[in-house]
Amino acid sequence: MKFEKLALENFSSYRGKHQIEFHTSTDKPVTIIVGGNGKGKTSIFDAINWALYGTLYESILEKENQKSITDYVNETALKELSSADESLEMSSALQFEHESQRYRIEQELVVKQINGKTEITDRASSLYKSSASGNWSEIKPIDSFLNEILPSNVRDYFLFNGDRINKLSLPGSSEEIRDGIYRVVDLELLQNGSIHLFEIAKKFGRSAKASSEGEVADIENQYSQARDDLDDQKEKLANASEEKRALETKIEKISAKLSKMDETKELQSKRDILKERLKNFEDTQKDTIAEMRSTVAIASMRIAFGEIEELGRLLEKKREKGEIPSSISESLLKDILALQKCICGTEFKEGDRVYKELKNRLDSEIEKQVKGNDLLDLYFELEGAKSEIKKAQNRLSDLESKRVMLEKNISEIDSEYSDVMHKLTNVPDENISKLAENLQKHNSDLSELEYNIQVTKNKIREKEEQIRTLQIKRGELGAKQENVRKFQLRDNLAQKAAEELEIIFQKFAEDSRLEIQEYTSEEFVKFIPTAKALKIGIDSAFHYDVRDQIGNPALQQLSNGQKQALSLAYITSISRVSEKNPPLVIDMPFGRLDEDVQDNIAQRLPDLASQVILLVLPGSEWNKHTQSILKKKASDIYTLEFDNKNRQTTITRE
Amino acid sequence: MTTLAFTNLRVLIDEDTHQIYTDLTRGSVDKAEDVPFTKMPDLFIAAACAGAHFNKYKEISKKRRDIFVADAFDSKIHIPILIALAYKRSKKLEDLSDPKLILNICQGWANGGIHIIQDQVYSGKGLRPLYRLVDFALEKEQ
Repeated sequence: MKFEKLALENFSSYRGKHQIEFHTSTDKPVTIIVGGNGKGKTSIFDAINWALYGTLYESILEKENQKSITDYVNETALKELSSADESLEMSSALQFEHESQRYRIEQELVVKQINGKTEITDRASSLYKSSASGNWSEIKPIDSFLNEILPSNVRDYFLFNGDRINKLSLPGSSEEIRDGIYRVVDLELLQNGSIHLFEIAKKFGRSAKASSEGEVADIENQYSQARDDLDDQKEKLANASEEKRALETKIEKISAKLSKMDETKELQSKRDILKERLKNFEDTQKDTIAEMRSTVAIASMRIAFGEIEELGRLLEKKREKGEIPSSISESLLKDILALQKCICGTEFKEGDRVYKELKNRLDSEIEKQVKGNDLLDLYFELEGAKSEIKKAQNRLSDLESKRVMLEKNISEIDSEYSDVMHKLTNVPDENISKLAENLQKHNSDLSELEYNIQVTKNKIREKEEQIRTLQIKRGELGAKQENVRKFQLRDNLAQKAAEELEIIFQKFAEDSRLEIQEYTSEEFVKFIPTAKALKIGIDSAFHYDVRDQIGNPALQQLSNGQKQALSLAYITSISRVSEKNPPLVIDMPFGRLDEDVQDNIAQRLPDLASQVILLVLPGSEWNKHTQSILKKKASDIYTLEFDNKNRQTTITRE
Repeated sequence: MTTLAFTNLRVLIDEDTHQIYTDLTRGSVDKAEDVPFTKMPDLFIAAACAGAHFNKYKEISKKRRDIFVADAFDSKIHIPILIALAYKRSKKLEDLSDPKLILNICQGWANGGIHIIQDQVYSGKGLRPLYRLVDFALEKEQ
């Protein structure tokens, strides 16, 4: 898709008709529009958005900027209306090319001034397609066509401003990051379906409860209560996890500040080493305890040594006495029967008395043999079990020593860590000690929060277990009341369907997160080549996750500019994953960018999409650095001039 | 003996003791030190061993609950122990080829022994349940 022309009429400060052409090509994919504050730059951005998304964009303007579309009607043209009967037209039309076809999308408003207020008297939205012969035919409906090529759900990932880049780089943006990932998955239907089915399940659950009696009613009450409790616990967990993340960000920020201060650099580095060692020891301790838990069960069976030995001794004696027979007699009898001649010399034939006697003896020997073999096996199995128990005891003993040693190490490091923290909080510089004090407090709050999160997780597990048990009872008792069972079955079915949909949605969302993470990381390094050693990610809670070479969190080590570059990398990744390859329109791309990354981003912008339209401020954004980089790639450079006297903007092409 | 078929048999316990079984096994990794057993069959065997060792045989009542299928027993360790415990009560070698009978006897031993295990890991002050069981397994004085 490529924008070709924007035509405005009485839109904002553009009185009468105005036009901007975008002659971008592969070599020169950029269009620059330079205008100072209040000179109509952002109006161009709004005009493109309005032309494309009409009333949808109007509601965004109202929500985000508290502006009505009528505020955009050119004020001078409005003043010139001589009477309330006279009307004025405002429009914005965007001509674009898509898959070798030309289109024109337009929004028009007709307004009147009634009692000093601008009222809309008519409006129209249209989309036309040009044929080979040059005739234009109308396409309806507009929304479904546009959704195919420029879906509104990802609009703000190719039409955005510098504020958005900055906002996404600040802590607390995870919700928006998650939103972007969910939106690009484009499976709103699936998510809504799952929510709807959960509601239906609840409704049937309520009906089952209402129609139940006696013990069935008791179970229904318990089940419904358990479900509500589970929802509460899940919500609690989500809030606590968000709180934890916020605390971790605070801790990271303070740590980053402290590590940059000369007075505390050494202490801070010691603290980090101790923290790392502590974590390693604690992880090893956790593994050791887990192994102890699986070993102790076998080792504790040593209490049965007496019983094992008693049976073992008995079997041993029987074996010695020959009561557990060897296989000799069986083979001998088989040979005699085959030869039809006994060892005493008596000959016999199949079926006669001697044969029958010998055959009966053989059958009884075989039976004894099976039992004998089984007992022989048991004798060795008892020995084997005893040996396994002894092995487990030895291993357990080693593990116990290791655990005690680890506990001692942890306690020593812990005390060393406290000592360092004490020194940090007592540095003579008041600012530093205050920071260190805050750090300690946040760490202690974090530890408590982690404990609460664990408790909540356990409660969730217990609740889920309780629900499973209640479901079984529910099924058993429900069978006694037909009308209740009917609702129970529907409740279960809806619940199961909702859970399945949720799983599918999460799977798609996870795939999308990983894809966006990969693109973001790739793009970030192109913006900031010096950051190659950093590992960039978006964690499962949708926060940026930046790690240094040894795996320590490093997001807070990034400069503001680098964080902004990370956001821009993320935004453009969403646009990339959407596979729509739309033009990129950025209002004030460098407005909030720190100087350290301006050049890098300017270098990279022309490669981000096949067409890039930049609306920039003269001076701070359109300066000699950015000009020297972007002019080579720009097909058109427009300057916006605002006439204060007539309060209108004119567009000049350089 | 490894050919003894414990399949299709369910292991039963007294309904009254179910909570003890749950408390001693239900817990994730983070609860490891307070919930010493990871699997029901391990706990059942430990209880049966304790019951036999201290001669506390108690038939399971009619109010019973099945907690797992006997296939879950480990053939290398659990089954020989179950047989040895069953012999302690029956004293007949021919009974040792009857899985149902072996299991019945061991259910009685476990029913008597589960409280011994419970006391072992929970009573007394100081150590957490896992370490009390560790001391017990290593025959340390408590």
